[in-house]
Amino acid sequence: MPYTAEISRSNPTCFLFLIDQSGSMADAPGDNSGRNKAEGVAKAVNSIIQELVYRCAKGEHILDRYYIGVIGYGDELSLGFTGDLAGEVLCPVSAVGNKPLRIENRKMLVDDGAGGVLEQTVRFPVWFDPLADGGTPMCEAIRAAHSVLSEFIAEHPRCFPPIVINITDGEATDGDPEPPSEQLRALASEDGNVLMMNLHISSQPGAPILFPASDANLPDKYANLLFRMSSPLPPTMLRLARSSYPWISDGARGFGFNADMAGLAKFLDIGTRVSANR
Amino acid sequence: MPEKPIKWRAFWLPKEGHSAEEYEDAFAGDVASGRFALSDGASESAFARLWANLLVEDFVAQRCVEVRDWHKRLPEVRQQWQEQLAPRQFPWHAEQKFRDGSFATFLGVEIRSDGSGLRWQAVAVGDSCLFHTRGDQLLCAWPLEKSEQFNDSPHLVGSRTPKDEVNYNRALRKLPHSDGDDQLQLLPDDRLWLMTDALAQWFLTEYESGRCPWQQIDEALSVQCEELPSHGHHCLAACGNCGLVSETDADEPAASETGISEPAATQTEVSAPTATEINTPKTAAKQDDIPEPAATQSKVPESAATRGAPEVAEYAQRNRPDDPSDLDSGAAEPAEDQQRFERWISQLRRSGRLRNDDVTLVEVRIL
Repeated sequence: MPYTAEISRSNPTCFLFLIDQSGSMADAPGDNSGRNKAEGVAKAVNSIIQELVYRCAKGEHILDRYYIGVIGYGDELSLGFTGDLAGEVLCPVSAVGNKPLRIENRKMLVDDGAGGVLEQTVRFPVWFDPLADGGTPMCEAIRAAHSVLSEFIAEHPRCFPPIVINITDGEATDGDPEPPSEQLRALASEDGNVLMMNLHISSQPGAPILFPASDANLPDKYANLLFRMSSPLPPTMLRLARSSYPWISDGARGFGFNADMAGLAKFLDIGTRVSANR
Repeated sequence: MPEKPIKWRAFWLPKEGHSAEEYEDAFAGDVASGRFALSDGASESAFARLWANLLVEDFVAQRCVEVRDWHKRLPEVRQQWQEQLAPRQFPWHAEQKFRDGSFATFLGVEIRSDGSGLRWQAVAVGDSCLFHTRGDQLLCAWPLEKSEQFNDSPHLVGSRTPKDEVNYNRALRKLPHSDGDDQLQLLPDDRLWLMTDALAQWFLTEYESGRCPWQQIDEALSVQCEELPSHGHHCLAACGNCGLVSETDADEPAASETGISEPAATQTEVSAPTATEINTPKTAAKQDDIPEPAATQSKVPESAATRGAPEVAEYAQRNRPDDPSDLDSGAAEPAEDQQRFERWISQLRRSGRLRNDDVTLVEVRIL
């Protein structure tokens, strides 16, 4: 059965973010957040990466159960993280977790363990700052992802299939991204095809949409395009996804519209789950 | 306290593809108190092994707390967990995990004598299971009774979960039932098997198919020793009755002080009442998430316990291939025993009959 490979240090998988950094990302999104879309994208990327790192953290260490990579596309393609992680497109999750660009202190209310709450300063890692400049070479970014993942799969032929998370407002300026995305999804390890997720950060108003099974209620053609480019969640992920999102129906795709996709990290089976017991 | 006519042994193996450091089950046993415990740390939570270890150690050590009142010990155990972790400076991800707490299943059993013989009672949270067998009969499977009852989200005890929540949310199971006339009597040669979920699920699946999984375990692990007229039993590997237990490991460091780097088998044999009462529980998998040994030293059994009671053989450190003491310790059998266990588990995993997960097996036999 596909999508059942174990995700472990001896058989890691990878997450590759494709991040829209084009000029249009300076526009306000449709969620009345007061942030521009680029800020929304940075927040989304940082929170998903944080959750991905968190899932590999054991004690004070981070187990390299997967690699994380980024490809930014705007004025030009930018391959890999910046700061201490600059160099390779894909970095082991331990390096990503230990070397964020910076760590910000934020106040939040936490459980005091005795039934109350108290305000604590909590550290938030930041890997990615908002950027909005130039065109939207999404096709080129997807082709670059193809090349990065071909290499990864050649090195890890039995891996749980790599997951691509494309975060964009959907307006590619270098052609139709559907054909290259089909090629990307055609890439496969022995355990199944590469999974492509698309998170649409849009200026269109409307309630967030997460993991829909049909395009019936999507607000515009860009959302429809990104929905078509999104892989259906395989049964193994669907089952786990339902513990966080019980309403997800069969055929749900890895697509979100102005939504928080950080829960995605929990769709992968990497051990006994504690969510039901928190 | 008189010794109980019990012997026990335990095996453990991390999930395939994982190192021993990633093993997050814990077990403990103490023949003197007749208490045995098993815990399966939830790998998604951090410091789960520390939590699992604290839970099992506390259970076997706190014999004055009734089994059915086990949850009342949780604030104390939680405090120990907090004290071991709170002073530490964590990286951001560990800090967040620490705020969320650690989670583990728990299974504790106590064997006690009453006027009519031995009985057992138990307490459990989650899917670590206990099986009571007599000959070719399975008398009790608990708390899960069917292989289909296992799932991804077992009930767990959290290091930050209030004890009343554990008690009242139906996560906590107890035997005997409050209204119960459960048959929990133990006769000679009866066995109690404690297993974490993957092996327990295999066990029930086999049983449901009309097979005797405990006999398969025997076949996989037992050594046909030379039969001794006075015992005449089909003994377990390296049991004291066959003279295979040596006393040479008295100077071995306790497993906990060096950290276990290899899967190990632990076997404890108390063949006769001994003048030195064993007050410290034997625990394996002592290395928790904290690298510094200082963090656990106060809690670990002293090697003196082994020294003071030479009948008790700890094999936890014996199986390391780089350990030269193995060569002349006269205790090659336990290593073989563990190898047999590893081979058997690997076969089961390869055949697809055993889910790949940490495996822990504790066998308690009534003599």
